[in-house]
Amino acid sequence: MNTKMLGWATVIYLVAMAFYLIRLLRDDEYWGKLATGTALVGLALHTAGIAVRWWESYRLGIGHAPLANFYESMIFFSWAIMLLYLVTEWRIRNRFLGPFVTPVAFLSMAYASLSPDEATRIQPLIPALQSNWLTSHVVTCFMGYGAFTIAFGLGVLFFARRFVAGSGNPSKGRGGFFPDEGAIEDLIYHSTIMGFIFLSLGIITGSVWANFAWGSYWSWDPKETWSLITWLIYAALLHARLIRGWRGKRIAVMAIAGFVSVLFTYLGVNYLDSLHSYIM
Amino acid sequence: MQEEKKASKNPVWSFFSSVRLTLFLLLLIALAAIVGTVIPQQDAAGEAVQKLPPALAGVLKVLQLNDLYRSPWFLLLMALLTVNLVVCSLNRLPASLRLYRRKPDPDRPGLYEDLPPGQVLAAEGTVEDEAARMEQVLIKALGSVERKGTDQAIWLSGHKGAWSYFGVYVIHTGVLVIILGAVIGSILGFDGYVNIPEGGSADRIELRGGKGVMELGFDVKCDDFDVEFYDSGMPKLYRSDLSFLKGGEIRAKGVLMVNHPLEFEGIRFYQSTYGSVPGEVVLKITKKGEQVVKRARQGERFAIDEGRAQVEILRIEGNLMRMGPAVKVGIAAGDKALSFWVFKFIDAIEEQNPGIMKQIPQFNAALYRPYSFELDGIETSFYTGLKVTRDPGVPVVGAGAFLLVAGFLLTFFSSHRQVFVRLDRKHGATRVCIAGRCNRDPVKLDREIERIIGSYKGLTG
Ligand code: HEM
Repeated sequence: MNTKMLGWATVIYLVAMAFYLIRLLRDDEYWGKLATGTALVGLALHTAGIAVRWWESYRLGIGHAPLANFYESMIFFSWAIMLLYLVTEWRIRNRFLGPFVTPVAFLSMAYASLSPDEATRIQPLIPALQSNWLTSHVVTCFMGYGAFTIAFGLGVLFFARRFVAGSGNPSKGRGGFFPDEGAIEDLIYHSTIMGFIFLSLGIITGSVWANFAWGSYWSWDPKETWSLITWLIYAALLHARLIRGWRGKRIAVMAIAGFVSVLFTYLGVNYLDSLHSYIM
Repeated sequence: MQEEKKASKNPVWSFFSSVRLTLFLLLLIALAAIVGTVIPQQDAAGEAVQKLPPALAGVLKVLQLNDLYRSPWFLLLMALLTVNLVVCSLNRLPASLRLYRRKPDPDRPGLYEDLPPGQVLAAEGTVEDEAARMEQVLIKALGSVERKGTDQAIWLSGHKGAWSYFGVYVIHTGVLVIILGAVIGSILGFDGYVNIPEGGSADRIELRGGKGVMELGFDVKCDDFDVEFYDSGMPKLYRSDLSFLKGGEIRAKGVLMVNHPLEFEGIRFYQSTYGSVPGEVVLKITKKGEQVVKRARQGERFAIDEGRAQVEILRIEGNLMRMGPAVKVGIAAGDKALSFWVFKFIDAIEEQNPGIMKQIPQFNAALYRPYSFELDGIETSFYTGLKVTRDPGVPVVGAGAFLLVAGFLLTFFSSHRQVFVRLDRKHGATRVCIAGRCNRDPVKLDREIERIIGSYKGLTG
């Protein structure tokens, strides 16, 4: 039941993504409204899917928040992206970011739906996950990842804008269809702050949990270490902007670099462990 | 806010107060941490290094790249960041204090130019009346108001949230306190392991990183160990029932599970691993149709043949040479000593390898005549693997984390908002101009001003 709903949400996101693209190419707000509406329907279905999955886990007698394996984390990652994106869209009253963020949400959902059957089934929790900290830790981390995804979309958009507009910072022409570079950068900054706070909370809740489960709040395990690396990169971004006065391109580059680190924290680390035994 | 360009006289001080150094250190630490996740660390490093060419292994060793997070140069980077942070904060504190204390000057030139039309109002009352009214509004909205006046004009000002200048210091103090907690933990804390068989106890632990053995000063007894599995085969529960004893007397008892550590005398115990070890071996010993059953653990002895022979369990194998469970038994009778293996599935082995008993006398369980041995089974017993730690730095790190989050709230969700009002006469009416300044979050300031104008208009009627 829940996997079907989530599957439909994936399809709806694909449609929303297409509408956002059409809006961009046609420069027509009619498509923009359609895109937002579609994305909202998708998010509603997505939310319901997660809620039903949660409820079903209780019916199976193994009740827990659906945040316990890779499949569920990708579903939640995508949910956080869409939620934060729609909030941003509403706050800035502009849809220009849609085509750059919805693909990440869609890809995450689509990749999740490719998981083998036993991964999509609701599983009971292994002892290490039987903790009250599971939910707060995963939620904060992935809200952080979601905010960083928005900052990444903006970073990509920064360069896309330069690409279509030619060099310089024109306010007219096709480049003028997007907000100016200063506004984009400002949004990158605010998304980064959001992400930084959430990631900090994610690291803190993770440490508290580790201190209960593993007997140490910090043990330099690759995942922990990569979350620290990500945190340091964004801390550098904030300082570079605020105090060194870095602007525009450098900030966009750092937002993209930070996101690569986010992806590595989330996905790459899983390969790293096997790399150990492989390379050496 | 731009970095202050005021050059300090002391070059060391100015070096450490630079944010360029901060960027450099943050990124360098990130880079070092990346290296640490690619190169195997600590225990995993041992085998890996052996497979490397010696030159490369030498480089790894000199730079301590396989115990990177404890290596002197990594700690040096952290120390530099700490000094950087302290110096930088001390350097900027006076400026922040000035900002905090600065009296707003509402008659500053230029303040009321280019105001949006909504922020310039015309009122009926005298300048004095309108000013009194506005004062009330400002007090209510901002909690403070100051007045400055001449006969033609009155200036009012109020502000809120000046302490937001210190949010950054709270964040940075949080970082420092976390580092302090980590240092305390690494100096005063320890961290080790102990395996305790079911029914057994331990009074010492093995410290991690080959740092030797530590006496606990009490005994930990494992009364019971349990593992439960789900139908899918995934583990469901690990549980150790522990007792803590001093001088043979039980002082505390508790149930240890993953995510539910136990503490005794400031030392914490965690359910870390478990395993099984061979327990008692059950041997059937037959002499002319007369059978006795004997139980013994590895290394234990018992007597047969009316005390003329001593039997010792030398080794226990769960699966010897892919022929199933086997036990090596040694027999000493007088000055004669011999040993042989007793297989559990001896019948099947003989069937598949006819004559094996003759070829390999070591496999003949009837070597000590006239006795013949049979292996009835090997019982397994569990041991629980505990992680044992003490870390007095934990509360300090927790306090640092709290400061960090509180600092975020102060820095990112509060701002210093100043509202300035000028009242004067223009075209036969009282003109009220409202301006604002803030250090971040202009949207919030605009809303504040909107609210102030709203309640002011409400008061005017
Ligand atoms: C891991 C270490 C650090 C963290 C997590 C951190 C965090 C932060 C954050 C979140 C801000 C606010 C940024 C913003 O408002 O956009 C900030 C501001 C600042 N940080 Fe750090 N910081 C760290 C280390 C340092 C160091 C070593 C220095 C020393 C030079 C430094 C100097 C500053 C300064 C000068 C500001 C700006 C204050 C202002 O005028 O508003 N930081 N820091």
